[in-house]
Amino acid sequence: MLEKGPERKELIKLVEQVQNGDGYSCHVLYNLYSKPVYNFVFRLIGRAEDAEDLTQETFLKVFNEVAKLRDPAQFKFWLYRIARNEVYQRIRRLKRQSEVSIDDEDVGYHEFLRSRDSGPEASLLSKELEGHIQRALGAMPLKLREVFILGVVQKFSYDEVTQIVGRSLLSVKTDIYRARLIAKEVIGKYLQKTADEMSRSRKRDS
Amino acid sequence: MKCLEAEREILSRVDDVSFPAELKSHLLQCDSCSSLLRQLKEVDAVFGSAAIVEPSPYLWTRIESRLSECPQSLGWVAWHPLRTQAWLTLAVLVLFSFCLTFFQTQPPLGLERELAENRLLPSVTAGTNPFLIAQAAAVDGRNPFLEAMMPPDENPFK
Repeated sequence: MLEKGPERKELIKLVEQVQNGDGYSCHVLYNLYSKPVYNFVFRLIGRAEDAEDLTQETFLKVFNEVAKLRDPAQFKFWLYRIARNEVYQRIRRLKRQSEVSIDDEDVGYHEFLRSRDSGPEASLLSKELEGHIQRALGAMPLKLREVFILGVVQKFSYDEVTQIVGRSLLSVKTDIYRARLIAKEVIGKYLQKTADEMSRSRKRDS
Repeated sequence: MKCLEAEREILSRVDDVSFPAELKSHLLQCDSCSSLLRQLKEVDAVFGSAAIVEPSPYLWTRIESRLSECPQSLGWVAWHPLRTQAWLTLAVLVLFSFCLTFFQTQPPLGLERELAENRLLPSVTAGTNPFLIAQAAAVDGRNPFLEAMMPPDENPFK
């Protein structure tokens, strides 16, 4: 589970210090948000190398433009919006290179994974489970994947998700609902298989 | 409540701790819907506990190095407050210069009135600017206003 972020007052103070040019506060903000942002980007795009590049670009943009942020309390949502935009730009660029239409809802993460070498690197609970998670995410169109990652994986509230993706509450709820159905299809089979194996092993032991 | 309606409720309420009474009652009676809810909670649990991927420990070093490469574009090094401070400093300097210039060339008000009424410096009223004369005299270490008050034979400069 990702750590809970700083309290609102603490965050405002930190952001204001960054806006005043305090380099140490920049590092503190980076330490607080680099992991969740990196995980968001990684789950969205599916490759560790791209995730690292995009996280780097995100923080560079954030620190270069933080003076323009009028409400420091909105920093987290603003940061995630920038990360999301970076991912979208990268995917558009890659799709142009692979001559795939960006409007094609079926072409997303999974196609991208198939066309390039990939291999999830991370500390893993189990490689098989991680593979299923990546496959489930890959099966979702980008629009559903992003809200699913924010709402279910990173546990943002529906309201917070709407602030990041800029869509209505109804649209976000509908998309998370559709993403859950897809995830259930992919992960459900794995969970059923795991449950069957556990029940078989219990019977053997007894 | 029908299954279709219950399914819609379930899919948007997977995270909820409690459900409306109608949905609760339907779940108690419908195996299919209660199984759907259980599966969705399991899916959420799996994704919620997905491995946390660590970024490279050198990522901050790369970011810091890129930021220091372009100092002009360092928005985070307070271009905004610095610009405000610069403008304030400039404004103070301009005001200070103005005051310095203004108070150096301005004679006391009472004397200005008397000069204008031609009481003290008759020679000065012949088309010359008394303030410029005073300024020039001040450079020589003289006080033209005192000199004007002295009789000509007592004025060491005349």
